[in-house]
Amino acid sequence: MGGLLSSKRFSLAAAIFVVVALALLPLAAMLARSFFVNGSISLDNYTETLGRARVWGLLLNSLALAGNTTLVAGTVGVGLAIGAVKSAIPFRSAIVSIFCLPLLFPPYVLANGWFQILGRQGLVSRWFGDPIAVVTSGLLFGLPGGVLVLSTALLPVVMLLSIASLSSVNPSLEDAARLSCGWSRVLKSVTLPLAQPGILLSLVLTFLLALGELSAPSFLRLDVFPIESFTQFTAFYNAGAATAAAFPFAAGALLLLLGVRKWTGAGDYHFRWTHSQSSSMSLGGFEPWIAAAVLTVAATTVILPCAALVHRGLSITAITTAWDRAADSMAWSLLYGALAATAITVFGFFLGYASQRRSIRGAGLISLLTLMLFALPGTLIGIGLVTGWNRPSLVWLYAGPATLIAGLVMQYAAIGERGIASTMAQVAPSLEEAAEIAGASWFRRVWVILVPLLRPSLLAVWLLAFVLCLRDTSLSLLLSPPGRDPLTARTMTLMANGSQELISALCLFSIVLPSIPVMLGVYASRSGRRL
Amino acid sequence: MIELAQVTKSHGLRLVLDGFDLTIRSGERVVLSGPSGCGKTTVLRLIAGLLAPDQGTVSLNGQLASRDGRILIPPERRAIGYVFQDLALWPHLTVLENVEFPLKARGVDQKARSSQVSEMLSLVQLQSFAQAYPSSLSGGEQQRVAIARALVARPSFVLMDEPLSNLDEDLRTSLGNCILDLHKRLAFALVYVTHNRDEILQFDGRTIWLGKSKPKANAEL
Repeated sequence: MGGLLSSKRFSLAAAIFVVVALALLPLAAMLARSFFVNGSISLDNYTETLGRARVWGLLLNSLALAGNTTLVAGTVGVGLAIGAVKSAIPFRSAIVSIFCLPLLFPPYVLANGWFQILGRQGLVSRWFGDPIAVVTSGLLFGLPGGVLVLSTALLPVVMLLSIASLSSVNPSLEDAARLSCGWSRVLKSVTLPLAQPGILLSLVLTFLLALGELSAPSFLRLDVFPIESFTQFTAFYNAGAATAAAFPFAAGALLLLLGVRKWTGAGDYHFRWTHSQSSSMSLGGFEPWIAAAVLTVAATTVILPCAALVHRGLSITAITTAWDRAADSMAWSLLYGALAATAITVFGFFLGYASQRRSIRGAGLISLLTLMLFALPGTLIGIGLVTGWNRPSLVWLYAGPATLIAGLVMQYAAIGERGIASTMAQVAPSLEEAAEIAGASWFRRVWVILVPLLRPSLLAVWLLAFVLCLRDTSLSLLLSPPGRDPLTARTMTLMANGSQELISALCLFSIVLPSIPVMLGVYASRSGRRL
Repeated sequence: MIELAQVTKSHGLRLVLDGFDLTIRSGERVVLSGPSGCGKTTVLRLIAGLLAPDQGTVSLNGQLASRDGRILIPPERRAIGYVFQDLALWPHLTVLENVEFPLKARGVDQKARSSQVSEMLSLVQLQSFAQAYPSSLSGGEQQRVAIARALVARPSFVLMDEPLSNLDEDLRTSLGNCILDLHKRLAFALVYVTHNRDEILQFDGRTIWLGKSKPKANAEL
C-alpha cells in the first residue's frame, strides 16, 4: 500500500520529476551559461548588462508600469469583488463577466483597440481634430496608456482571486461583527483580514505579470525590461546578456512569492464552521446607480476598445486578407493550445494530488514552484528552453512544436496544480480509502473514484489552460517552429508592417478564437447543472 | 421587550415561518425548540436584524425594528448579544481581541474596555487565555469565549443558537450552568435554541415549540 515503489508514489514522483526537470533544468542551464563568456567563468554578462545606466532606467520604467498597474487593478478589482460578493447590486454577474473578458485575449488586443480610438489617425482625431489626437496619442504611447491597458487586462486576476477569497469567509463571522458595527468596519476588521491571503496573492501576481508582460508594452513602444531581454536574445542572440537582464525578475518573483507564503502561512486558519445565510451589505438605496456607473466603466474600458477594432477591422476585405494570412496560424493555435491544455490537466491532476494530500516528501513546495513559473516572464522561460534544448542531439525535438508546448506547460502548470488541489481538498480521503480497502489499484481508484468526482474541475482547468495558451504571446514568439506559428505570434509579426485594417481583423480573430470554446464550456456546464 | 407579530419568512420557495407571533419580556428565559429546519435560527436572525421578515413586524422595547422586508434598526443598534451555532470566533484575533471587539466598535474608551473585558473573562474563567488564538482552544473554551463576547457589552437580550450542541454531556451540563449563572447575575433576557431534551429541562424556562410545518403563535411545550 504505502511501499516505496508503489504505483501511486511512482506516478506522482514521475509527474513531479517531469515538471521539475522541464522547468528547472533549462533555467539552471541558462543561469549557468550566463556565467560563462568565451568558455571561461566570468561575470561580464552581469557587469555589462547591469552596469549600463539604460538598464536601470528600464528597470525603473518596468517598476513604475507594474506598480501603477497593480495599484489601479488592485483598487478597482478588490472593490468590484467586494461589490460582487457582499452587496445586492443589480447585474453583478454581467458586470463581472464584462470585466473578465480581457482574460480571453492577449493584452495587445486592448492596446490596438485603444490605438484605433486615441491614436493619431484614430476616432478622436476624426471627431475632435488632430491637436487633441496628438495629446491622446502621447498619453497612450506612455505610462498612462500602458497602465490603462495592463490594468484592464490584469483586473480579472485580482477580481476573480479576491472573489474566491471573499466568498470563502464564513458569513457568520461577519454576522457576529454586524451585531456591533456597520458594514465598513466589518469589512475592515473581519472580512478583508480573513480574505487577505488570496487578495495579497492576487496583487503580487498582478505585479509580476505586469512586470513580465511583453506584447502590450511592445505595441505601445514602452521602454521596459522584458523588451530589453527579448531584444538581446532575438536580435543579438546573446543568451548570457538576456539572462543577466532577466534574472533580477526571477529572483524578485521568487522573493515576493516566498514573502507572501511566509506572510499568509501564519494565517492558515482551519476552523470549524458551517455556512449560514449571509446578509448582504446595504448601499443606502444607491445600488442601481452604482450598477449603472460600474457598467459604464466596464463598457468604456473593455467594450469600447473591442468595438473600435470591429469598426476598423470588420470589413470583407480586411477579414478575407486576415483569413488568408492567418488561417493556418489559427489552426496551429488550436492544436498547440489543446495539446498543452491536456498536458497541463494531466500533470495538474498528479501535482495537485501530491501537494494537497502531501503524498510525497517535499510535495508542499510544488505549488510554490508552479506559482513562480506562472509569475516568471514568458521571455525568460522561452530563453531557458532555447538555451537548454537547442542542441544537435535534440534537433528532432527542438525543430517541432514540442519546445513551445513544454514552455506552455511550464508557464501554466499552476492552473492545473492549484485548480485540482483546491477541488481535491473537498474530496474526503475516506472515499479513496474505501476503494483501496475494497482492493482497487491506484490507477483504478484514480479512474473510477477521483476522475468522476473531479470531472467539472478537470474540464474547467482544461478550458482555462486552453484559453491561456491561446492568448500567450511571449512563448509563441520565441518558441514557435518556423512557418507553424500560432495566431498571437503571427499577429505580432504582422504588426510591424501590416495595415491597420488587417491588424484589427487579426485582433478580432484573437477575440473570437478563445471565445468559442469558452462559450461552449459555459453552455456545457449550465446544461450539466440543469441535468 | 421583543415582539414578533404576524411574521412570515421564506427561504427561496420554502416557507419557514407563517404568521408567527412571539413576545419575550425583559429578563425572561425562553427556550426555542423543534426539529431541524423548523425556523429556530431564522427567529433569532430576525430578532438580531440579520434578516428582515417578508411580512409582519419585529419590535424591540416598543420600537419598530423591522417591517415587511425592511430593516429599520440595523443589527449594531439593537444592543443584542448572539452566540452563533458555529460560534463565529474571529480566527485572526486573540481571545482578548474577540471579546473586546463589541466594546471597541461602540467607541468605549480604553480604560473602561479593559476593565469590562477582564471582568467578563474572569466570569467565564478565561483570564489565562487572553492572548491565545481561538484555534488553540478546546471546544469548551471556545464556547466560553463566544459567550463572553456576546455578554461583554451588557446587552438586554442575548440569543444563543444551540451553543452547546457539539460538546460532550458533562461539559454541556457545566457550561449550561455557567450560562444560567450569568443570566441570573446579569439579568438579560435569554432566547436559547436547542433540540436537546436535557438542555430544555436544564434551562427550565418558557419553552416554545416550533412545529415542522407551520409554526403557530406561542405554541408552548
